[in-house]
Amino acid sequence: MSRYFLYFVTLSILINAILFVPRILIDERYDGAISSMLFGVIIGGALMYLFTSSMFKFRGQGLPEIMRQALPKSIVVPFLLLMGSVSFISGALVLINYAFIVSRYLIPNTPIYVVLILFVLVASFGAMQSSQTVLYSTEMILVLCLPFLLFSIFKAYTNQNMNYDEIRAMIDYSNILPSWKSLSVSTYAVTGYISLSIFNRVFADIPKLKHRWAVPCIGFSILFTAFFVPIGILGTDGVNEFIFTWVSTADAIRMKYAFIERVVYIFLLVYLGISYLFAMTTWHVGSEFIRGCFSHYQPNTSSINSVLPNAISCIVFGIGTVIVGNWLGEDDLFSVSSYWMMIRSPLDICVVFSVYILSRWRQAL
Amino acid sequence: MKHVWMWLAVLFLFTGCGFKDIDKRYLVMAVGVDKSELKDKPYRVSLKLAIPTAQIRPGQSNTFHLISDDAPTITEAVRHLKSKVDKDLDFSQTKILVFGTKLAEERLDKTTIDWFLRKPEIQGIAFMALGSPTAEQVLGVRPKSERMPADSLMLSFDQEGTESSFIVTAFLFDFHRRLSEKGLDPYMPVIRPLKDTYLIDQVAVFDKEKIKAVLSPEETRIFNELSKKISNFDIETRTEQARFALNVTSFRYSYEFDERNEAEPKLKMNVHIRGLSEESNQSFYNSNWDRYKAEAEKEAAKRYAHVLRKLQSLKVDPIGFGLRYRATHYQRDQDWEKWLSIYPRLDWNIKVNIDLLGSGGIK
Repeated sequence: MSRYFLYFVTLSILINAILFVPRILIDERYDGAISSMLFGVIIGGALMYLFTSSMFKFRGQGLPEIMRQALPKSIVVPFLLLMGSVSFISGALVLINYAFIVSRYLIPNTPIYVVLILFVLVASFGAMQSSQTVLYSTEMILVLCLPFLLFSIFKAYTNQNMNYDEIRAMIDYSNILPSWKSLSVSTYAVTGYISLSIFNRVFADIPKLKHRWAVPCIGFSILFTAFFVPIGILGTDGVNEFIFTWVSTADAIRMKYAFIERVVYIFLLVYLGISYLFAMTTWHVGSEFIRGCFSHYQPNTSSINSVLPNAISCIVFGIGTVIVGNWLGEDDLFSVSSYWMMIRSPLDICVVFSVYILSRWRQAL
Repeated sequence: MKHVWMWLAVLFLFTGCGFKDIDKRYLVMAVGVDKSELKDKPYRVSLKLAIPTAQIRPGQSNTFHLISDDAPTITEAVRHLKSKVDKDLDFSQTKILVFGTKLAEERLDKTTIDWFLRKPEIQGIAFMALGSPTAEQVLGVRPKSERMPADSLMLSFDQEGTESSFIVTAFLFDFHRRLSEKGLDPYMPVIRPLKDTYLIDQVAVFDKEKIKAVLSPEETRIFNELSKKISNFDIETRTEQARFALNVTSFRYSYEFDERNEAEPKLKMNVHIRGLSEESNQSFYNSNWDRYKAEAEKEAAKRYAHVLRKLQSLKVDPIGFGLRYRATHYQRDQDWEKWLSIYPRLDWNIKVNIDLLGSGGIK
């Protein structure tokens, strides 16, 4: 079972590292972005350890139940609503971002709301399923997607046009202290463990999470790749001129003898799967949080009645996503995403510490 | 019934797609940009449009339609060109971008290639080249062996068909990176149209703005060795004692900066070549191989030094010594300023090490 934990954490690292992080870290590449990756992963890893071990003290319980037991309802409900919306928004931002990429590169003639409606339908359908189903589909889609992704990353590293001198020239800038922005962005990349606050219900039958040490390792290697490969291929200064840095990077890689020459199409398809998966897990977590406000916990058995609260929240946020995605311009989207990441990290830290305090209380009782 | 309604609802979503059938599209295989004669319309854009054929036959199925137009910007030109054809222009197969020499002599920088980078349909791995005398003439050639329009150019640059050491390859993304990278300057191969084919044996080196010089074929070959580390070339040695040619099977080089003497910075380059003799005016056996080797090493070192000095005197650095200097020194921007002062007076110390593997089929 432990491996499912790694799946959703890896998922969020992959999404953040490739969709958002390069844009902000590469903007600040001369001002401490490199050290921020190191510190961010260390901080994120420490928080992950704290959070998972506190959550595991509440065997088989999700955060809504835990809070209900310990705190008055007037605190719990707004908190759960906030957590739910935060989770929904982070999924929605990924969907909107990816819809922009798809409508730019794959189907330029289709209006963006059509793409978004299709995305939202699929993501909501996935999010309404039970937690087990969501985790199983995480495994399936990752097993299908990761080999292609690893292969294209391997091609990127071994590419003849990958210039390692550019990467070495960037190392000069690694001893600058990171800014708050870049640090919070790197910390945000490894923030997928928060989903455990819902998925903990499914982890009832295992005594201990194994392989937790893998999270910082995966986080660091993916962040490192997401930051340095574009620089090695698009140039230390040239890299700043691209909007979707990784799509342009994949566009610069070619496979001469493969069945498809342009790596960018493999990459876009793989990321289609991964962003859908990310939206599905975050929306599932969000809808479960919001469900936790209304009634006492009933297990989600995928039957109509038990799914209804999830369905309603997914529909509300889905419609919101389509409207906002249609209304946002490209420049707005970037500023919104970077502000989002700056707010998100402190919020996660609050959640982690409150869960930690709750677990200490429980021990004291 | 419920399902039927649901699928109908989904179907309605697709009515918004502006999808065009493949037979209503014109595939643009190559784009050429020249400087036009008109003052207010500086760009002359030519498009090589593929005319589809039912059967692929070399020399016959490469029918194309070449259209050109003058305009103040590339966008404007393409927009106007659309009124010359009956189908929608599709740039997703465009692999060759040719620029006229006149344009490049005046200015070829970010603003010129901006349109190509901004258009998501155009691939980052498109090949760039310089057309001499004009891009339009290059696009107009119809080689006899081609299976598809512009196919022969793609094969040449791919190094998939022919593997010539004279053909230099430049990608769009690579050119863009070199336009802004400190210590790495852009270059482009030069295509000269012949009657039914092309001659691609020169390279044009650029500073960040325009063309600086076109290297001769012999220099181009050495340039290609140094910049791409290709290993399918040959070395000719022609001295009084010996005349022979070596076919190189493996080639690598490494270099380091020697700044112990501040006043005379040196670049120490070690070249390792392994090769077979291909042609010789005397027998190799029963004679001293070392002597031949020494001759060939001296000759090769001279060739490398010649090209490197030429690039140095042109004040361009397409091989990336400046970038390597920045990579191996840790003073951030000061490295770059220091390199700018070092490069003009850099002394080249080239040592070639040839491994003569054999003399071929005969003694």
